[in-house]
Amino acid sequence: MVNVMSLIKKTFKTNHYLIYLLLFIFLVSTNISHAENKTLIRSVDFSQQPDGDARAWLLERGYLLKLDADEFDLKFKNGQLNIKTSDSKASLFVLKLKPENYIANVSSIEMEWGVIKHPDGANWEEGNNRVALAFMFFFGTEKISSGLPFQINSAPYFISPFIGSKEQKGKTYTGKLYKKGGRYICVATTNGSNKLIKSNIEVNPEYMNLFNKDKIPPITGIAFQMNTSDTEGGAHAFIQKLNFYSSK
Amino acid sequence: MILKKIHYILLIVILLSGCSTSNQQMDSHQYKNLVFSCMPTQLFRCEPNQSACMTIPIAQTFDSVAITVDLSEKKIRSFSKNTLLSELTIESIQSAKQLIYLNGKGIGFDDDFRVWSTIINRVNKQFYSSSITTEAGYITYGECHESN
Repeated sequence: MVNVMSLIKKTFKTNHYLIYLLLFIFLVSTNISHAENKTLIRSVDFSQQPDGDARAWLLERGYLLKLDADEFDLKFKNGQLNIKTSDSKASLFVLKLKPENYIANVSSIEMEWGVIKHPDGANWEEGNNRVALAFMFFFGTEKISSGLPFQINSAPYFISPFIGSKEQKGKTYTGKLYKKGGRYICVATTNGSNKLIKSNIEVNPEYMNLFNKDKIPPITGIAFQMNTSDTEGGAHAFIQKLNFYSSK
Repeated sequence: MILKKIHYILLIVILLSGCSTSNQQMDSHQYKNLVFSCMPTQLFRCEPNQSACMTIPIAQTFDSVAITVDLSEKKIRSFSKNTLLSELTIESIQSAKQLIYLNGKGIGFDDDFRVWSTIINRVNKQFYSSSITTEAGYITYGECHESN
């Protein structure tokens, strides 16, 4: 070991470089061990679903179909939940978890999904905040202002990853509503194809710092939305799988 | 005889005017102790650079919102179940022809400054509220039931 150290010292000549090397090794090993500790704690998986109507399946499992959701085409096809509309409408599919089903200690969420057609005119960079497909993960039970009068539509803190088209991948956007409690993150961009996209978001204090929270509350609700309001041509997107991981 | 007639006519006029005054007083005093329980039914958001106001669906995903207009306390409060969501202080109250006009301004629980006015129509039991923040204007419609 002494020989190795002296060799390293000779190679780098100064302790300065040695410290950098050791720090690098430490960081790499920490990341490897972190990745190894990742445990799947919850999954929403449509990959085994037979082809057919998905509306009844979602309702049976407690999903609330909100806004114009009843007017959207919902089908299982090729192990994917397909959501489609040819109109300018908004849909929201919400699963409020029962307290015994809250998902605590989530460190990352993986999404397997895709967009077949983006709504024409959707562009978060220019303020038309519409999406072919976005998830919403709600944290805790405290209701945060939506910005609407009388606090109508207040909701818990949420992060909302979405697949963009004209948006910047990796950019966090603030919407016109939920400025205090909601953040929309463009996790992938595509021009629209059948391509399956695998996205990952880290649920860490950095994200929650957006909401001035030190401790991350459990996930208490999951939602997905398609919003083609103020756009043309409709939209078509799909979800295959959603995995929640804990680092503990 | 003529004087008698004039006397009776004057008496009737005085009595009628007295009744009328009494009704007006009742109207102006009556609303002061009223409490209205309201439910929002329609909501619109308007921005200066938009050609039309945006319809905001009242999703009620995380429970519905109830609005209480308390004229004796001069407060408009909103609740989700039993949790207080917002509170506005009524600065002025006026009424005429079964319409109650309320106005106010201030910083809400959401840290936004808003100027607002609300009209309660006691005949058709509805309320119309408009509010303006630095970013947008809002119009809210709803149904109301009153109690003393």
